[in-house]
Amino acid sequence: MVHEYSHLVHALHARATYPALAEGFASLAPEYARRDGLKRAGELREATADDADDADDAQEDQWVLPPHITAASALEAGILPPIRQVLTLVHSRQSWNQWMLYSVPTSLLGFIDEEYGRPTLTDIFRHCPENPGPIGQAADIGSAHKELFGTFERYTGVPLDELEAQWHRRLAEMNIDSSSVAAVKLLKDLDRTEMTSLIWALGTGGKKLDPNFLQTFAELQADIVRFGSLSVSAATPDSDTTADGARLTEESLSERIDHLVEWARELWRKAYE
Amino acid sequence: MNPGGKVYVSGYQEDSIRSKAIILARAIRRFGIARLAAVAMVLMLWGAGAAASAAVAQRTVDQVTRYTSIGNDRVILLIPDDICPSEETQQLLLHTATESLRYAEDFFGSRLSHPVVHLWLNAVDKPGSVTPPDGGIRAGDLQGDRRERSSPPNAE
Repeated sequence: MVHEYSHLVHALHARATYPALAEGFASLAPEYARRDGLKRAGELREATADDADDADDAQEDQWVLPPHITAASALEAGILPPIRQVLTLVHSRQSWNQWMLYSVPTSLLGFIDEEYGRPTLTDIFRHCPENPGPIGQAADIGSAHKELFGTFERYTGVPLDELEAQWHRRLAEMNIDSSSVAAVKLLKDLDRTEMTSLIWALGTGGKKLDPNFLQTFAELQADIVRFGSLSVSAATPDSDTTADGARLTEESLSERIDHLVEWARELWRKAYE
Repeated sequence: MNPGGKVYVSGYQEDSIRSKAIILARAIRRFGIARLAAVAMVLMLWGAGAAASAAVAQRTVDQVTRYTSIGNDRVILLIPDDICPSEETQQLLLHTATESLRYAEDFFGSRLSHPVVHLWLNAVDKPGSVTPPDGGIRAGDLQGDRRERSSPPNAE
């Protein structure tokens, strides 16, 4: 709920800002709300001076903003988009794009919060420029994007490229599990199903996507997220097994993607029968 | 209700609201009523609509945001017709909603300009259920208010 109410509060300042910022801010607050809840429940402790003596133990207990895991994994996998692309991400049905939209801008904003402080973050929150939308002259959109990038430069006080370099350095310092890196690659690979085009193609013939396909897609996506521990809600003690108890591996998930892609091709053929 | 409230709803937000309504309905069916308070949430920014937008646009415009003022005065909590959450569940939902809003306001250091009214949409007459708790208002009670609006809501 904090996510939705963050949108509500954000609308005080920006009627229709960029989706990456809208979702980034709205996704950031709930992460901190969850952290605060863990602290209250005594399941999370603050880092102490003693932690410096035992860095490994400290890292295990210390809270890390979960979207940093996705961003750091994407960076290591070589698929993290440049900062200008991150800030102008839009909604789509592509699996990897959607996952990025709700996590990568959140990581960037979380980094600004950690590095530059909450006042800087809230300055950006309050002064997000309006999104000109997809319709319009290219020159107008280019100008609007410059305004967007300028907002970050104005309130952080550093050029956008420097901000990106700082953010990447922080992400590169994280000790990311190989399964997380594999998971972001698998999420991106899931886009081979070409879901958006498939739905459109079916729609042209008055047909709808098989709900079983959608459900299989959703279950596979959830398993990939669970396998990579990319989400707190998905990171359960049984994060290496499916709902049916089968063991999750990179290979098994990859095979399931291949199967889904084959299924999608079959649906493509049926779309034009 | 709350005639002073001004709301600006973008096309993007409206699309988002529709999708959230669908997500909510699916979530409730999937997780059951017991987890309603954890998953049930539909936001709808609702109010004076386009006429107010035009009126406000004539005022002094902020150099950065381009808007002079904005208010969000209603939040719709959509409860599908086919479920009957108990009064206790609804109270928990409203409490969670209130706490969530407070957290978001504190986190971003911004306060809504009007108290939020929680509307219980689809609050139909069923025995022992969906009677909006204190702080919540049955959406059906606002029919007259709806007719006065310049643009219809899209969450229904």
